[in-house]
Amino acid sequence: MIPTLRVNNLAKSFGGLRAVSGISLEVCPGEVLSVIGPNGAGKTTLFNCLSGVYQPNEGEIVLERRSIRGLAPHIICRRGLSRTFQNIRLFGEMTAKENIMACQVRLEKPLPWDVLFRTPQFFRREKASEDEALNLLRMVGLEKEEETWARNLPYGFQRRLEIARALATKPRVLLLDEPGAGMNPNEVSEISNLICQIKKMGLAILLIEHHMKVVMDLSDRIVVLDHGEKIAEGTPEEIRNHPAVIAAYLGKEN
Amino acid sequence: MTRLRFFLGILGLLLITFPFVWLKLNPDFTAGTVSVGWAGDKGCKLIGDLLPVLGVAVGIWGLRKFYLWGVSTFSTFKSAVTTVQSRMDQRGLIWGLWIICFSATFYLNNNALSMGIFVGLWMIQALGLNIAIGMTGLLVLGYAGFYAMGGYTFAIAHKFFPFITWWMALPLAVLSGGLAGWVVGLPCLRLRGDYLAIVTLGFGECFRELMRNWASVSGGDQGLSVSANAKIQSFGPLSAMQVTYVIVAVFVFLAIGLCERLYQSWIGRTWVAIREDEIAASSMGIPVVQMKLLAFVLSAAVGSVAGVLYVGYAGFIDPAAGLFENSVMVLAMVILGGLGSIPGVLLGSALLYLIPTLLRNYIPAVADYRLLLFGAIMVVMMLIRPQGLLGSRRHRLEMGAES
Repeated sequence: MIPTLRVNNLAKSFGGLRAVSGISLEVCPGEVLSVIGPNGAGKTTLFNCLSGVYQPNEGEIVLERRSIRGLAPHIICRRGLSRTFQNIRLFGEMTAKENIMACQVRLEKPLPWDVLFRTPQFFRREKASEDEALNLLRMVGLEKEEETWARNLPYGFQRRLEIARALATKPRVLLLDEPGAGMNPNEVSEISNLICQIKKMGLAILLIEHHMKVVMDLSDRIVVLDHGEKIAEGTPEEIRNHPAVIAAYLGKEN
Repeated sequence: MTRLRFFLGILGLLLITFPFVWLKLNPDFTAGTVSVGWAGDKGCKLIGDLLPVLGVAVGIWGLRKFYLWGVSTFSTFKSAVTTVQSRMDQRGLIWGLWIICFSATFYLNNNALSMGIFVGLWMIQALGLNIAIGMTGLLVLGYAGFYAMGGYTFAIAHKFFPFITWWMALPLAVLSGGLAGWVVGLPCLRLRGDYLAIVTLGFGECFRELMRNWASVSGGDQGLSVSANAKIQSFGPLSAMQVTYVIVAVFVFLAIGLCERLYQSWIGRTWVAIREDEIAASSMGIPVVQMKLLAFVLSAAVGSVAGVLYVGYAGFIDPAAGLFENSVMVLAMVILGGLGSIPGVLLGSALLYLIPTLLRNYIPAVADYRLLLFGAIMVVMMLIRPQGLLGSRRHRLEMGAES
């Protein structure tokens, strides 16, 4: 199978600090690839490089056979790579529905002419956009909160709304940065059900997560980072017993 | 310790400002020398001017209790505002208000009509600035520059092509204002808030200085006049003043329509998303720079239209139209009324134009301190109602959710 996203030898340094170096990975459609590693291992930097928030120093990033390295974040998103953020970055003073509607970049928009004169076309397309937003809200279980301000949603709902918002851009690859952070076990299992559902839609998913149970249950493969380098890659079973991983997490035995 | 530092700070401030307040330069042109002398009278005048300020400060200090009482009854006030707003949402009332506004042209005297025209001009400017600052979150400090640009576009075009009248100048001004917005915005919209404010401030000042000094084209400090037949004309039984009033009201109406429809569409949602979180917006596929540029250009174009209407009414423009003071005035109107709220912006511009004008007409002594008054109003606003008099729909939701 052709990988949706292929990263080759990616490196990013801030001054003298090599935050990410020589990372290569591939994700196929319908596959969950987890990126794990201790704090400061470079996981979020990797995501920021992929989504264009940072410009990588070297390496290549190929999304569906086209290089996306060095492109602006919004162009990368339009090519089909979407993400959520570790510290939630919703549009606080917009309702849940508007949050999603603002991000439907692939949906056909009414032309400025239609907007100014409120033509039937405007109402048709606005309705289509609204319906799609409601579908997404239903999918993440927020249909009752469509008119609530994002800022006023409970924490767990905000996480789910962020995922819905990322899906609104109709991505091929979804980067989830700690979707289960700060959640109770109940909420975590809801989130992993949601991720399973998204996986079945045929999206390639890159997942950063600290809940090991979620990682082991959901992942098809796992990549382990430490000090910005890839120290192991394999199935959950292989990673669980990998000596380098155990050393990175627990320290080396003398 | 803190008190000591406070007094040391005051002392330092006095030392620094001392020469500017108490000394003056006496140039001697025959000898070609400059001597430094005491500026006793200047300093005394300053003290004299400061005394009422002190009085006001003491008064405010004394009224603290009253203020606290105000805060305690704030919730009632809030519900009153909400009721007014929900009534305002009713279409019939809005159309009724419009009919009153338009028919006012028949029963207002010339003085009141002139005031109405200026209120309308400020409203158009405030609505335009609201696109940039209220919806998209771009702090623009040189907005009067775009206003002056519209006026000068008309006046200069008329100077070289005398057949151009006010309505022919409108599209020209939209183009020139929009183009100016594009040229200023393109390099600096990549900058963050404060830097954009400084660049736009610079633009406003540059444009004013250019118009002051490029006398062969812009008439320099004297400004430019347009001939009477290029101004807004009388029509049938209506005098020129009445026609101007109606035209300005029509443009206020159009500006409201433009803002409202943009705000309630994908364009407005994109702008708010950018205002809320730029990084998230760009990661979600929103072309941040283009959309900011669009907001900025539209905002500038609306300001230019107000400039053309002003020249169409007054028949005259000079560099004072681009004064920084005017930019601050528009900004204050937007903030006082409520960022992003269209009824709020309209209310803010009406209040901030009418209060000083009426004060100047009826209590001239206070008029000199109107900027001071603005400052005080702003401080009080920030304390008790930071979202503006009629905060936007979004802000209202927040208030509702918290109470």
